[in-house]
Amino acid sequence: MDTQLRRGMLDVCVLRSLTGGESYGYAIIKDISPYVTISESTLYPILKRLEGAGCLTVRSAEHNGRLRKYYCITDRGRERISDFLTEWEDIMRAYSFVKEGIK
Amino acid sequence: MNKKEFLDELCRRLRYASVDEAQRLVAFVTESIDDRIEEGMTEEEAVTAVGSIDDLVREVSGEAKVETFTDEVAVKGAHRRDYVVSADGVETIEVTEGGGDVNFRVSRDDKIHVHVTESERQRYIVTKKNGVVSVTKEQLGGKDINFGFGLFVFRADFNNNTDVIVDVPENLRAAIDCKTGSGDVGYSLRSALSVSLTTGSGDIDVDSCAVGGRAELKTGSGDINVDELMAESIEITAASGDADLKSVTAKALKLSAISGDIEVDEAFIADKAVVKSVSGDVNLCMASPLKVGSFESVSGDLDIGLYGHGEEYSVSAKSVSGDVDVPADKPEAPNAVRARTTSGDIRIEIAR
Repeated sequence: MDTQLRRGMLDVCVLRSLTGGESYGYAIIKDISPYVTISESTLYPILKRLEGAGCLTVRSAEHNGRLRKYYCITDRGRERISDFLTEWEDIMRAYSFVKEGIK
Repeated sequence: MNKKEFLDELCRRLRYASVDEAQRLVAFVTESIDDRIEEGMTEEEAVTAVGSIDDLVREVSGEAKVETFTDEVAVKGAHRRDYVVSADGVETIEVTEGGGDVNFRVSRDDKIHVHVTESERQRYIVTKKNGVVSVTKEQLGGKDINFGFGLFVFRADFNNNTDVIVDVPENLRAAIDCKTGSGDVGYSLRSALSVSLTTGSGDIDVDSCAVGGRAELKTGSGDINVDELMAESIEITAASGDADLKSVTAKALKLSAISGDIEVDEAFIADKAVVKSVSGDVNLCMASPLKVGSFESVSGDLDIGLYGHGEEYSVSAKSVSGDVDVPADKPEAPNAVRARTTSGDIRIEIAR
């Protein structure tokens, strides 16, 4: 898959995993894994990029005697998801058009 | 591979990453491993599940543009290392070196680079916290070798005291604070907020530098050489070494030496110059008018040239046994030049 496309899709999948409330690294991986292939090495730069873009906020909290980072989606993050969905409507229209031609 | 081995290897592979970046990634991976173990996996399973170190390092390298320096083996068991630190938000750079030389240079990119030599016996801790980049040397135990000849035993310390090079981006204006025990300090940064360079017995060399605030240079027995230094105030102390300054500009200048000579060629001091030596000679050329000048030596000679035009000033030049020589180029300018010596000659010359 085109890297740019895959990257945009992964960003939105990570944001989607936060729409139900804040979450942490391993839980995000577990939530997304059934749908896309993701590992720590892929997730780390995504979280950093999304934080830099203001799409999520990070807080550290104590968990079983150690620190865990929790990520929380922001309004900008939600906007990113709706932009993605709008864009994909266009893509899906093009997809149907292309597919019909093949039949 | 267990958790510790995995994280140790990850840290080793991240040694060229910026300190911030390495700390973040290691914390992220540690958290994920711990979460997997908590869920019931063994350490080995958890480590395998987080993925390969190659992938982790590659992702960070792609994002942080980590320099891909390779280890250059300088001495057996030692390697050169380049710590790359983002210059964002940096206000202070502190370097504490036990005995090696420290050199500050202009960075070729927009990052701070700290080049050091590390071995089993010494390593450096480079941290960035609250705008302060700190470089500290950590001795891990030196190897002493004893040569015995009857009653006489000669001990040789085989610690490698190699130099630290700090590259600072040209547009970063930080407070620079450097201390070394016996090494030399070289400084060629174009600008800084303030500069404090201290060495026990090494030389200090400063080349073409502008400092917003105070510039302080101190050595016990080394020499101080300055070629073009501009600062709000300049304070220079060379106990037994010489101080040789060329083109210094400041509101206030304070210069002192015990047995070393002081030589200043072209000093542009607006307010006050205080120069003191015990047994060394003082040779000064004030290229612009100053308001107050106080020049003293106990047994050295004083040669104080007062050049420039304009305001009123008060100058006192004193030596107990040395000669005092005060040439000036403006007949009406020296409102007060007092020259005193107990056993030397005095010459005050006003050019017309």
